[in-house]
Amino acid sequence: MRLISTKPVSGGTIPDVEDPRGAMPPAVTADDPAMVAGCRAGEASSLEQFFVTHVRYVERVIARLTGPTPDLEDLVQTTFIQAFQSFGRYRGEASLKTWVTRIAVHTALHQLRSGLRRAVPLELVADADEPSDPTEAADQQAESRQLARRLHALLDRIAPKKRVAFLLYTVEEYSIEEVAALTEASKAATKSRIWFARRELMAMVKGQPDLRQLIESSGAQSWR
Amino acid sequence: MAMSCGQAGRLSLASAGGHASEAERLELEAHLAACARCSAEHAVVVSTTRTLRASEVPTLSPAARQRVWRAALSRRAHAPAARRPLGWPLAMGAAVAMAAAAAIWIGVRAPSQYAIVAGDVTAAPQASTGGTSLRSGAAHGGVVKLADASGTLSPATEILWRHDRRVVELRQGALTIDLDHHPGQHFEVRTPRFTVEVVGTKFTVDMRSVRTERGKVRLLTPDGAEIGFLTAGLAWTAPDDATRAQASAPPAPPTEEPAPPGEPPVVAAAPGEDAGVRLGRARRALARGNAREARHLVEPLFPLGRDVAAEARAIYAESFLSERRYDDAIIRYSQVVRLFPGTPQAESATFAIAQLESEHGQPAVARATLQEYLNRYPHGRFAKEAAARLQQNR
Repeated sequence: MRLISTKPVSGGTIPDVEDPRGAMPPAVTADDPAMVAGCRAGEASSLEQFFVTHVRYVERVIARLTGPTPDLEDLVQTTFIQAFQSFGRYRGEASLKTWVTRIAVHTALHQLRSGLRRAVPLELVADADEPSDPTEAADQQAESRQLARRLHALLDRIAPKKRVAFLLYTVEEYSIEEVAALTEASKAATKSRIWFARRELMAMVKGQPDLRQLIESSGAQSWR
Repeated sequence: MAMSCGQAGRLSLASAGGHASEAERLELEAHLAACARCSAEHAVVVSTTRTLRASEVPTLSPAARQRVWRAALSRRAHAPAARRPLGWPLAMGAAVAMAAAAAIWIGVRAPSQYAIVAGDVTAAPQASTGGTSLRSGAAHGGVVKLADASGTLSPATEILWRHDRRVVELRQGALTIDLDHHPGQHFEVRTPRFTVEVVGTKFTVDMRSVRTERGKVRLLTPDGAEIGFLTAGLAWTAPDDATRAQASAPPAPPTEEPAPPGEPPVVAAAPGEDAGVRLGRARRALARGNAREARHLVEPLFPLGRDVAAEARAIYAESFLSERRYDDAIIRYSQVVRLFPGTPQAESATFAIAQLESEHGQPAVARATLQEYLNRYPHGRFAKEAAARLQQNR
């Protein structure tokens, strides 16, 4: 459950956001017209409502698309600064969630293209709200983490546009049409990017027999 | 009709992403049962997707989220306020009030010469320039009043004060100027190497460098080209003569196509160049006003050790400041604060953020940042200034 406090905006604090899962996208509901109007007018209380509703989802989308990065805070900040500064141009044709996701995708793409990516420092740890599966043995957890790290390393070698389209489609489960809208590309180009990303990923996995074995063993039980 | 391997591959991807219908999944199953190659690839696609989906996603801490909120709120766009026409009596009243204010302002700012306030200072008019030469003794400095500015001369300092232009020429020694900001009012200190234009500040200039203690100053080359802004706590040293001569030499004929606009300049790394040298080159590039070159020079230093990386990030932030890209500067200074806590760069960056916020219409946010600075650095280099600003902003 998402809890949003109603304490007034102080200019320096945001309300507590309590969402144990945190990763779930906000429910697709019609945006409150009063909030939209308030955001357009730059009203702090409306912007606060918008921020609290979407910040976790924005964090997740960016983290998924870029992989582990110590620049997550900057990227989320850039996304919201752009959103707050662009409300005047928001025409209401898409939901606010779609609109801010598009900005987040653009921000992530820009980061991936810039090549200014840094190693993840040790202090960057997973969300404490999301405990590891207690039924999974420790060595299995370590294996899963290692596999994820290696897959992210492979994704780093795929061109940003292809990588982003692939992840939005397969991991975030957006449709082709939605991916095309989020990345401002045609449907044909989007399909092509997803397909080529898959092909490149497969080729890289094939070139690393130990990784392929790791992937196959991790998914052998229930892939169908 | 039998499904081809290409179609199976696309359907495999759709299935992994949760986009395939039940009928399509059954069709895919039938193909996979008969095709070992597609079956193996599908296993990899599904496992890869599942692993990525299940992998831990880092999220921001509540404190980081607070920072993001504050930063975004401080830079929100405000809808233009509706203009209400003034009624003519009110407009006339406003005009009268403005005229009165202007009269008071002119009175306060009537050109004044100078006054020797304290210390060992002698004055001599210079007919050739229309100014006054002020010179402090070799052993003791002194304090002078130059229009509405206070000037502290170090020992063995000579300045030429031109009150008609509100310009001080520093001829030798070092000078500290303390001046409140009055919009539209000009005041500058010139040296042969550079010019310091006052934006409301306290700063010290010698023949080669300038250090800002409060507020900020604008640095210019002797021919008036802007070098950049220097905010409180920051110092700038003019490049040495050799570098200056090189920088001011006529450009050599281009041997390559110039970089397209927006592309970072190509800056060749000298063979065996160490990080310190590269930082120095970046500083000099910044001093020449070439922010993009400075950024390009420091970017490769980000992954290096803490000291080098902190300085590189600080220069990076400063480069945006010099381009007047204040939002970008704040973001980069915030990185310095977050990534290098406990370093002098983080301290300077925190104060720089507060100044930028304060000077760009965000007094509430600036207050929070100043308070944060004082909490972290109660005896810091800018603690006095931060406390004073906080007091002013209340």
